[in-house]
This record gives sequence, structure tokens and C-alpha cells, in this order.
Amino acid sequence: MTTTTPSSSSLSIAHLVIPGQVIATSSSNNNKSDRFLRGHGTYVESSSNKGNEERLISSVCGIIHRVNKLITVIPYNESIYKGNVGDLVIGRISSVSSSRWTVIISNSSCMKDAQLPLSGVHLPGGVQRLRTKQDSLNMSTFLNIGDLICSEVHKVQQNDGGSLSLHTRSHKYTKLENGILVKVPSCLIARRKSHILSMINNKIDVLWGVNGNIWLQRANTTSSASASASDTIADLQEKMRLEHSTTPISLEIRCILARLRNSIECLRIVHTMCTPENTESVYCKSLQLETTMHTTQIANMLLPENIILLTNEFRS
Amino acid sequence: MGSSIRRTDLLALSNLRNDGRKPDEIRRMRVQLGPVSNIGTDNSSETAGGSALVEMGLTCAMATVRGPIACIRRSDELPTQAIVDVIIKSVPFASSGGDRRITNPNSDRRFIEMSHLIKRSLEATLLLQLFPKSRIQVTIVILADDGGRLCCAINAASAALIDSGLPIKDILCACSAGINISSDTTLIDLNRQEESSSHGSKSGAVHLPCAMLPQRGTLVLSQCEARISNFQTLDRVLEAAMAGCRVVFDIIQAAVRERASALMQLRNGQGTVIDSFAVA
Amino acid sequence: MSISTSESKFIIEGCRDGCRVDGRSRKDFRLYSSVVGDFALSCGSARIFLATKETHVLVSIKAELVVPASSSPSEGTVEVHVDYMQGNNNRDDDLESTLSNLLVPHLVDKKKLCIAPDYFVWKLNIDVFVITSGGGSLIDACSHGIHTALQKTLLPSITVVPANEGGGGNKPTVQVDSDIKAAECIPGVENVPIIVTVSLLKHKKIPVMIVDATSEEEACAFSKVHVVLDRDESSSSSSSSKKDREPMICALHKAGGGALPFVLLQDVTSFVLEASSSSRVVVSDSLHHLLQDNFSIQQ
Repeated sequence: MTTTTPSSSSLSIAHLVIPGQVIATSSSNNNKSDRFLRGHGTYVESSSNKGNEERLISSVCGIIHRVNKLITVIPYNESIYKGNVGDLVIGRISSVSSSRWTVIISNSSCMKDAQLPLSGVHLPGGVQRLRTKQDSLNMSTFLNIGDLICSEVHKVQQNDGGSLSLHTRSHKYTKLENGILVKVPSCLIARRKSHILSMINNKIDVLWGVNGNIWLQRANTTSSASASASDTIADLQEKMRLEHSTTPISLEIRCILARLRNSIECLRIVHTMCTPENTESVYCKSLQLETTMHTTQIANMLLPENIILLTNEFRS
Repeated sequence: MGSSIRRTDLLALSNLRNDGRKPDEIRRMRVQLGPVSNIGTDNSSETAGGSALVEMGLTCAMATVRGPIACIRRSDELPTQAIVDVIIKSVPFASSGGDRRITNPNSDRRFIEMSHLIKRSLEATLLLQLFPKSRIQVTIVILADDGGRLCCAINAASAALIDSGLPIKDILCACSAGINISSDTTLIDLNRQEESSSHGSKSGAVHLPCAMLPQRGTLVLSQCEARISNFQTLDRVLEAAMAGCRVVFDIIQAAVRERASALMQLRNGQGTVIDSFAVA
Repeated sequence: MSISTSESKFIIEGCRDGCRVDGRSRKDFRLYSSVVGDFALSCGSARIFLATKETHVLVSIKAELVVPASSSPSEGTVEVHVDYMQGNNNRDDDLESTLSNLLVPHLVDKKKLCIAPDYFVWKLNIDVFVITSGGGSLIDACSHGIHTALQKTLLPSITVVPANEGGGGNKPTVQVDSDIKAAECIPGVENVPIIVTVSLLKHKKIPVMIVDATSEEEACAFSKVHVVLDRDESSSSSSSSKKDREPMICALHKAGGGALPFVLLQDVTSFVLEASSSSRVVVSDSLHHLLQDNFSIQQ
């Protein structure tokens, strides 16, 4: 087997291939152990002229990634989000049908809408029971069209063009209220251990959806006064959610949210990874600039000259 | 005007075409990937996973790709592969003359024919079997038309497909070729004037748009409506068109590589800030 | 687009508090960039977009010589045509008719488009092509695009050969100078007005006014008022001694569903006049140029 790349996982520009480029060839006479494995972004074709030769050809433009014999090409422009089971995704309900909700997941319309079945949500009250006819009639009171939800990918349906089915069966996953949605290309979100983080001195909760949607909200204050001993965890959570969605947001928190949103926008405009660390660094820099120069108001962060000031530390 | 030589005569003498190109030279071609934002509001039909703007001389086409998305009707779904929808239209200011007819892409015969040709070419290029029961929608707008709009549209669609990251067999490239009857030489990438002169005459002038997958060396589209005197002529024109496609391939390839490496470097924290504005 | 009730509540409260989702106050505009001269086949063209390209519009201007209408033999004509990249389904406002009604009467002095009365006048075809409108404030962006494109439009210089001279018979003929250096700007084009749209949100029955709304904010608005402003940039640039005069309102159009109390309209106009001074568009020949020129910003 001959490949044009050294077996390394480093993403260097030297390993850039374009669609149609032959990555590797192998003759099918050879023993099985010498063959490559076809990964995403490639396809196999048996060569016409030599009969028994197989060629692995790239089908997207991107970087070759090789793990032992598995060869994949990672596209350079991953605005297409391909779901993985377990991903935290943020989406908007687009329709309610008899036993499931349809959720818009992709923010560049290059993916089918995901399904959230009624069996994939916790019913109010948190009790485990069968879904009744009554529940399916009341579906729009749980989640209505236009609502934003945070959920987890449950299944990827390959026989349906890779559409996703979701679930929200955990206390982490809820309807999102009283906050700001920011959209970035999904390739700017790195997968990490936890996608729900507290930022800015624990004042703000940030949900980093792997599909490129980021949700910013005021941190949940656990000092809920009305917590009585008899409450179950589910009740407590329901109460906290209600309290969060009904308490108005103070101007101070609102300014922090806006500044954080603009920090992420800055990173997106210059196509830099939107990690929590980068975001916080832009956030702090903008505060610094405001105190020293008295010029960068929150809205002005998005002026080109200020974007350059705020993000040039990420450029080597 | 006495002894002064007219420009057209001078060009003919030096075996150049009316815009000063050599017979085997394509027009200045520029490929811009990602001119349209790929982030949009939910439920909007405007956002595109990939987009491209291709200029061939003064002809200019923009293409956007959405997909794989759900089919509009369930009856359109195919159980084994995705379907391709091609919408092609033109803006009223596209033509170089005063022709301001507003063409409806759904009823204009030329646009329907073009969209069918492009659809067939794209179906031959895309790996459709990876997305069963889905739809891939390609929208192409001719922004300026100075001849060769079919080829320019195909090149734009092809570049937009690469930008969207959808799996394709090869980079689809298109170029037209024809014959200058007076000097019996083959020309490639005909402009509007050369195209119209080949339509008018009866003496077998040829205009042949052609699209191919250059790395595989396969032809996916070639269309010739003129009467050709012999097979040798057809071979010659086809040969010239395929040579043109390879030149187009080099240009698209260079643009794609440039953008891919620029975006990749930005994501890795390299490159300058100025680059990031120009690219992202 | 549909947004949840919680989001709309968040947005409206933010507007009331003067800190919108992107940190702007009620009177702040976003920065629009514009690239001119993309289309060689047009007399003038401009592309206008937000930094993130969520709203992105092309404007092309083409002039042609036509025979004037018999009712107004010495006036040229101006027409606006709007087209969309992806159909124009589910759009409640008819952009083409709004732009035609509000802008066309104030764009250029039609008498100055006359070349030979009864025989030749200029007809300006203004084509607006909407690529994306996801950032909201589409009509404002279109008016900025038309504004920029008209400034850069060049008409070929034309000499009229009077009747019965030069073999023209009993009709005057024209000679078109094809030299680009001889081409001229459209006369009186410095005063092309722009549209500022005020979106009205309702917080506990109290109206809140904002300019340059995002599409999310537009989704929360119960009504919109388009105000056409002549900001008279010529006076500030040509003669610095002359004091900038107040912008003038050329036209006003209430769009959208809800009904407005009469007194509110006055508030809207004074709000627009206060806010409009901060609206700005960066004009450049190309984006690279813009970056090299160190962001020279046109106020």
C-alpha cells in the first residue's frame, strides 16, 4: 500500500487534498492486512486500466487524517454539522406533530431537521410513566413552535440521510429562556468534556452547542428561597427554571451578556476557534480597552478596527 | 481612413481574437468561495452551506448550495440516494445590451434547459447515495452575461459544492469551444460576440459547451447544435474544449486550495488579521 | 421567522433598558460596508453588507436612452426593480413598491436627465438584488446601496446634433462619446436621500422605538415606520463655512400591522433626526482597499 501522507495526526497544510485527488492505491491481490480502510470524505474506486488496483480518492477538500489504516479527509469548511451521539446541541422547535417535535439544528441549512420524540423528554413533575394520549395532545404546552431547547443527540439515522433524533432526558437539558443565542459555524466549536460552563466570575452560564449555536444566560442562583424539604429534585428544578425565566435581568447582567455575545461575534468574524478561553480573553481585553481608552463601548466592539485590536493576540 | 489599420484587422493579422486573446486562451477567470454568509436565521431559505462567485471575463455567476435537506414532498424522496434541485435564474441587469426582459426561471425555455443540463452534470459529480431520502438544492444566478453563461454557471455550482463540503467525485469543470470558420482554427471559452457569430451562419460554425471531471478524464456534458462537416472537426473542437476544462480546473483548484489553507491557518491561530477579514 | 415569547420578552426589555442584544443603544446603527464597481456591464454598481454579511444586497444602475413620454417630454425616468436570490416567499412587505414610492421621487432631478426634449432622455434602471436579508433592516440597506451606487454612476457624455444638420434628417441625433474619461456623474446626485426605519416595540403598552433592527428585533416589532431623510452631505463637503443644516424628511411611510397613536408619529420623526447622525457606511473600491486605507470611515 502506498500513501502520499506520513502517518501522523498533525493538521498541516501540506496534507491538503482536493476532491478527486487520489490519496492511496493498493492492489487487491495483496493480502488483506495491507489494505486501507475508507473513512469519511473518501471513496474507493477500482482502477479501470489495471483491473485489480483499488484507489482511495478524496471526495471533499480538506486535510488527510490517518489512524493506522483508516484514512479520512476532514473538510476545511465544516459548516455542515454531522451529528455524533452524545453531542450537546441547541435548536429551535419548528413544528409539533402527533408524537414528536421537529427541531432546526443546522444554522446553515445543510442538514435535515432533527426529531425530538415525545418519549425523549421528561414530563413535568419528573415522574417516570407511560406517555398517554393526553400528553401527546398537550405537547405544545411543554414546547411550542419557536422555543429554543438544549438537548443531546440520541441517534443518527443513516438510512435517512443522517438526520438526528434527540432527547432531553437529563436535568441539564431544558427549554432555554431569558438569554441570548449566538450562531457560529460549527467548525469553530471544539468538542470538550463539558459543554455547559460558568463564565465571568460565575455570573453567566454558557452552553456551547456542538452544532454552532451558543446560548448565554444569567447563572442560576441556587439560593432559591422557596425550597422546602418535601420537594423532589424535579420539583426543585422546575421551580428554578420558572424563577429564572420570570425574574427580569438587571442592566448590569444584560451588559455582560451583550459584551460576551460580541466577544464571540468578534472571534467568529475573524474565524478563530470560539473556545471559552478565547472568548473570556476577548471579553477581558474589551474591558481593558474601555477603561484605558474610553472608546470601546460594547456595540463598538464589532467595528473592524476594534475587532483587530481585540483579536490580534490569537495571531502569531 | 487611408492607410490606418483597423483594430479588428490588426488582430486578425496577428491571429488573435476580437478581444485580443490567443485562440487557445480562456478569459480572465476569478473564483471566489463563500461570498454568501453561511449563518442565518432559523427557517430562512436564504442561508447556504456553500457558495461561490465565478467570473469568466465579464460573465459572472453566483451559486449557493443547501443540503442535504428534506424533500418538499415525500413523493420526491428516493430510498437510495439524494435528489438534486437546480434553480437557475438571471438578474435583469445581466445582459450587456439593453435587453431587460425579466425572465421567469420556471417558464423560460432556455433556463429550463440549462437547469436540466446542470442537474445532470451535478448528478454525475455528487456522491448522492450517501444521502438517501434527501435533497440537495443548488441555486445559480447569472449576474452578468457576456457569453458562456452555461459554462460559468456550471463552474460556479461546482465551486459552491466544494465550499459546502458535500462529497463529490471530482471537481466539475466546464469550458466551451468553437471554430473560427475563416481561419479554421479552434477557439476556446467563446465570448458573446463569438457565440452569436457561430449561431448566425449556416456554414458549420460550431459552439460546443463541455463539462468534464478532469482528474478522472471523463466527460459529463457536451452539447453541440451546429452542423459539423466531419468527425475530425468534432474531435478537434472537443479536444480544445477539454483542454479549456483543464485550464479551468487549475484555476478552481488554486482558488480552493488557497481558501482552504487560509481558513485552516486562521483556525489554528496563524495568518494575519487582515487575511482574516479578506477570507472569513 | 418565529422566535419564542421568552426571546421576544428579553429583546423588548433590552431595548427599553437601552442595552440591546448586541450592546447597542436604541439610536445606534450597525456598520454597513459597501464595495463599488463590481459590475463592468453596469453604469454604476454597489454591494452593501453588514460585517457578518447577514444582510447583503447588490445594486446595479444601468442607463439607456429612451424617447420620453408625451406627457412629460423633458423628463427622464427612474425605475426600481427588486429581485431575490431565493424566491421572495413569506415576505410581508413589498420591497419593490415601497422603494419605488418612497425613494424614486427624490433620487435625482428628472429634468436633468433630459438630453433632447421630445426625442432623447435618460432612463435609469435601478436593480436591487437581495442575496441575504437575515440581518434585518433590508430596506435601509437597499437605500444605502442605491445611495452609494448613484454616487458612483457615470453616464457617457452625449452631444446632440440638432435636426437638419449632419444628415440627421428632421430629427436631432446624438453622438455618444465612448471614452470613459469623458463620462460624467448624474447631476444633483449628492442629495440622494436614505431610508431610516424605526421599529416600534411594545413593552407593557409603552412603545419603544429602535433604529436598524436585527431580524429578531423586527420579529418582535408591532409596527415599522420608514422615514426618508435628505441629509444634505454636499453642504458639509463643498463649503465648510456653511453650517450643516438639519436633515430634511422627504417621505414617511408606516408599514407593518399595528396602529399608531397620532402623537407617536412626532416622537418617531424627532427620534429619527436625533439618531440619523450616527448612521454610517464605509465605502470602498474593494475590501482590500478598505483595509489598506486603515478604515477611513465616511460620516
